[in-house]
Amino acid sequence: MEAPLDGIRVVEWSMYATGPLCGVMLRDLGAEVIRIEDPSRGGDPTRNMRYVAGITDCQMPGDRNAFFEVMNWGKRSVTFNLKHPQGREMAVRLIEKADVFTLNIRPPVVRKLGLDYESLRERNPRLIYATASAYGEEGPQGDRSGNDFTGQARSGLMFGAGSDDHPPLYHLGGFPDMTGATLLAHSVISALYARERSGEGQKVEMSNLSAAMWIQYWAVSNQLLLDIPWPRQDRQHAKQPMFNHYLCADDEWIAMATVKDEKWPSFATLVERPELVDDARFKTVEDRKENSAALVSILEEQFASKPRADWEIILGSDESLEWQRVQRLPDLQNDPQVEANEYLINMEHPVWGTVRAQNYPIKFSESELRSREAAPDLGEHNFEVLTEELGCSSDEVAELMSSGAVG
Amino acid sequence: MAKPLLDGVKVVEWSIYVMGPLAGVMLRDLGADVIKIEDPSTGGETLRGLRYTNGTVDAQMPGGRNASFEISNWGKRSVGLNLKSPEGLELAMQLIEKADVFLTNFREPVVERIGLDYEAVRKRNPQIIYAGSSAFGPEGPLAGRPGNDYTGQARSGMMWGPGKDEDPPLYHTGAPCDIGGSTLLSHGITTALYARERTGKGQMIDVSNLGAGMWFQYWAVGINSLVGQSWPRMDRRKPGNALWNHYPCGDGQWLALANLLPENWPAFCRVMGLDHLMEDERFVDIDARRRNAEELVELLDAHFMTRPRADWEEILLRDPSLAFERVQRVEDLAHDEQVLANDYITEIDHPVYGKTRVQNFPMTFEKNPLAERQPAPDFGEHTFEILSEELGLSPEQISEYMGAGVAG
Repeated sequence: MEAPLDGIRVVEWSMYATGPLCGVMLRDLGAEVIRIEDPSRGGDPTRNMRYVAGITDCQMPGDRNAFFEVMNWGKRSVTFNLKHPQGREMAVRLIEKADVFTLNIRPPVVRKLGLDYESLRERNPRLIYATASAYGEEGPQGDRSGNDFTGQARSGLMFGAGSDDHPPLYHLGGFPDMTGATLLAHSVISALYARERSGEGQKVEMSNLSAAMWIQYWAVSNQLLLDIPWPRQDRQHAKQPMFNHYLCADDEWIAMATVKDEKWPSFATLVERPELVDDARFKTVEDRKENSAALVSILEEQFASKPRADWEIILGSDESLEWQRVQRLPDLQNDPQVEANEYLINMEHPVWGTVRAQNYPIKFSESELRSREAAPDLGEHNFEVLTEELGCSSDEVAELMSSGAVG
Repeated sequence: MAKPLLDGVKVVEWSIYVMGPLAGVMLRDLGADVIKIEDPSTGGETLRGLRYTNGTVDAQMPGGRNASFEISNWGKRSVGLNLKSPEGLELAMQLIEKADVFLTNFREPVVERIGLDYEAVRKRNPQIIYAGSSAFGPEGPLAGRPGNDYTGQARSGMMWGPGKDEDPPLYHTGAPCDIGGSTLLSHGITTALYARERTGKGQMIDVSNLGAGMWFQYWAVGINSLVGQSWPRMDRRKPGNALWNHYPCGDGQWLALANLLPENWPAFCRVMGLDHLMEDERFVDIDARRRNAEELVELLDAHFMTRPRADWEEILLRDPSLAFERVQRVEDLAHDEQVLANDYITEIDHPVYGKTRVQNFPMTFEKNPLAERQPAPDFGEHTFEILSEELGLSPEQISEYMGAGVAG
């Protein structure tokens, strides 16, 4: 078996999450990924970002950073000073030999440094040039910077969770950035497929904003057709009581997740409140909608009467009912389902020993994934890349280093 | 004229609700021909008749149509085949024989019972890309169990993402696990098509709703896997970094500040007219600001309340190093000039609804146009066309099948 992107060479000029995670995905799929970092600023800002959003301490042993690590597994790092003519020339020579160039740098900076698509395609007509901007390259904010938070804010995502009395809520998982990375990887592979058929490279483009809108496709697209204000979902007044989450006696939550109205009688019976089936307040879908507050409070009381494990056994007896325990992120580490499907894996890290990592999310029956390796130190592969890839002599490398073209 | 990227690629889709169908939409946006198999005994896919999903939004549209079905099935062709009849299954297999991709999100036990599992399908078409999707993955104690976006959000830790400590877990109405799953399916299928160009081999791919829920929190899951701490929620009254937080302005509108770097602090104080805070020892460096974030948020809350949002936007724009953004609602997007300038929302002529705004495919390709959005098919709209043109059946054979309930 071989990996789908065996032999594909990617040059990455990216920071933070969207561009770098796309690089991780392409490398998981077998590509060779070389990232260009700015020597004057100590490389990617996340190398030294101890508290992201001030919350989680990302400091790891060996003066390494968890944020940087998870976004850069197994890449090679070179520090080319793109403001230096020779540094830029080294980058262009690398891109000339590459199949893919990915970047999430602001368009005006890209143009100023001459790494825009028009300049590069002359040097490499087969190049896939994949760019992620904050807001899309057109429009009044085409040149502005942004990130996961601006994507969440602009796209409506922050009003997606919580009830009407909540302020807008920031989602800590990084949906826009992670979606952006996934879409960027998707666009790269789509363009590689097109190149197999046409022989030509091309530019592909997406943005943090398009990604943030995409991951809420259900809300955004339904709203466009229905043309109504999009409601938040208040669990206290859940209009479909079988699509709501409840607190159990042991303070654990369980989510009922069925949208099939016809399940109501069997559900009510299963949770040991068969009298509700004949209760005039809850007879029809419309009745249950109308009296949702009353029904939710009855069900709250009912679920609070037993620990979650008991409810799981009870609900598990009906194979057609959808429900699930509400876990916290750290619970994933001990989740047998996650383990069995290898969504999290152990990897050997040269500095930390055995650590846990999130695996590539798609299983292929006939294609291999590349095994995860440590993120590179800053400029770790300067010498190797300059000599082996670009054919520089040791003297030339030394000259590039001393002139400041390479850091 | 350049062709769409997946021009000539044939997809047979047997899926319901969102995760499978939206993957089909993505492939069709890229140019594939997507044939959707629906069950004639139930009048087609469940979503066609699902008026209230989570009970809040009524998806009913003019002409007896359904908005949720529409957005999950743009431009596909619908063929009604009763897969429980041997003849119906055989017709499905003949379609699959001529296809590049088979896409399903039915549960494995159902797929096996019907006889459309990977082993059976690849016997008929060894080059097929078989895309399966499940709620919890093909292995483990929950394999084969039913689930959906909600179960994905619950199991993956996502519901503890937004909100503050005293809040209950919160459900996200955008359906990120389903949509994320669709996106991974489309990505995985494209990857397998590319691999097939190079190796000549078809294969099976698998994506789950749970795996997608985890993937789209990769930042959080990845870091939590390494640092091993309990994972905090982010309370806007007590953020770790007051410049990565959102504030209500004088007109009741919200503004998000999205700045991560220490050097953003003096720049922010200067444009906001808060120079005195730069000298304040409670906020002297990023660690101090982290310790005293609660006080800082109170100060900034009061400050932002003194002007409407538009004023603050103008003020913050003066320093290009600062990232900020208005906090919009989903319904604001249709009027957002940035969204419209980039064609993230476009307009189509719909035969039933007239001029209709639709959300576009989220990426653009220089050399490959996207396929034009077309309405979702009526149930069985293309049964005759597909059985005659694709499978070469005579009108008599087709009406016989229709009469026998094999096709519909």
